[in-house]
Amino acid sequence: MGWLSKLFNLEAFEEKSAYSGNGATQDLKNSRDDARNRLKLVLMHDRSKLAPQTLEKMRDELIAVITKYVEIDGEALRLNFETESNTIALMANIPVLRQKETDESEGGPAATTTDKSGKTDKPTKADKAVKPTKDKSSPAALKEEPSLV
Amino acid sequence: MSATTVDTKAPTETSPAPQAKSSTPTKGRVVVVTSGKGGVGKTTASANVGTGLARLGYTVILVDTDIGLRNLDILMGLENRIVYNIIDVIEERCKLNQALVKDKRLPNLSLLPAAQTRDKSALNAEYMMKLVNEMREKADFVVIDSPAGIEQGFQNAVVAADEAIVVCNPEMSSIRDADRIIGLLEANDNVQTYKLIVNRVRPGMMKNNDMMDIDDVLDILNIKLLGIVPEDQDIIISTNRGEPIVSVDQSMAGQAYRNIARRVAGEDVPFLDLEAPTGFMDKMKNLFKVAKASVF
Ligand SMILES: Nc1ncnc2c1ncn2[C@@H]1O[C@H](COP(=O)(O)OP(=O)(O)O)[C@@H](O)[C@H]1O
Ligand SMILES: [Mg+2]
Repeated sequence: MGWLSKLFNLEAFEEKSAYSGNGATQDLKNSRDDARNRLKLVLMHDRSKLAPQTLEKMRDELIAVITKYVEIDGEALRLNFETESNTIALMANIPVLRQKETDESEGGPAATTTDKSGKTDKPTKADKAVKPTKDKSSPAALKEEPSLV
Repeated sequence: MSATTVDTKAPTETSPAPQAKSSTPTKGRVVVVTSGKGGVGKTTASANVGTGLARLGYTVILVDTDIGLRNLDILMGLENRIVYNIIDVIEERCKLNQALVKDKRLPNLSLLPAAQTRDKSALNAEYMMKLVNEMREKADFVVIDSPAGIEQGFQNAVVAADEAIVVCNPEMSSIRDADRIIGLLEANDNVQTYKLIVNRVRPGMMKNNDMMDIDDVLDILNIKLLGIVPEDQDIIISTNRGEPIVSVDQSMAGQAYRNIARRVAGEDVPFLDLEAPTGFMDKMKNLFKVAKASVF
């Protein structure tokens, strides 16, 4: 069908790539979504008009609020942006040292230790959502680049 | 860009060049073509939009501001006719008219070439403003091809522009750079509108989700679409010949640029199937089937 595709100038649209053949591995398919998500994140950074001081302030205020309920390692607190199913989230990784003695249960381990519980199926209304921390006092679990803090 | 005034002003493509409007010297529109990243198709777009507008009958001056990396002359097939260049005009070694190179085919189209041997510092925003204002007295459209980057060369190219055409490819690095450019254009007081050309589109890859599609790009950049130009090997051939693809009737990219030129002129031209990747793909597949059936 060489001449036919030439006739209709189809050649450009039949390009074969190593990724589109039979041997394509699953995670190389649909790279469109990868591109889209990565771009949204990088543009978020590029466009960000948040001064480092503003982030610093936000961080301090976050610490102030959270320490009312749990004792955290403020030094190890990390803030950064991540994409998750089409939304951009402001992720806070807040290592918890100890839970404070209160009669409330809302600050309990379930809320702070399980990442899954924080990831609701629906994206949050706001583009920015502060997610609960992933792990107790384990800065090793930090996966982000420390670009923003 | 309003579509209302155009019909009187723009004749059909087969009847070019209404030269009668000289009694009322209107100020031409200055359109800069820019992208941030190099190699995405700025110069190709400049040549084709400029030539496309000239084919519609408008008086057009193409300006190459890529000092030291002159290319627009090659794409227009005018490289052998250059005597003076933009720096010669600015440094008053010649008049603007002496430096303008007339197009081979279209009498209402001319090119102000970049200097090839001078360094970029010879040009600055103030000179550029003055020069462009002189040109807009002479033409309906001044189309400015800008260099890559966001430095002085970019500033020179946009300083006197009323409108901008941002060119990108549907690829991450190109889109990121386009976003930077859009930010700079937004901060620029004289640039009133800007629209996007997505160039080197591969419908097949888009269909397979191997590439971001047009909606993805528009959504991410939050910009209006001016046109979609498919990846087209005929562009290489047309460059070889020094004839912009917009003048090649049966070419897809040529059709895309003819539509783009009409949109720049203010016409409301629907995006063709050819430009709507999925629809286009289906259409081609159908064509393909029909052709197959009739042959075998
Ligand atoms: N739609 C297209 N299809 C195929 N090749 C293209 C297309 N647009 C541009 N090109 C090629 O890409 C290269 C870079 O184009 P150019 O216009 O010089 O980019 P820039 O001015 O942004 O650096 C050239 O070789 C050109 O022929
Ligand atoms: Mg160029």
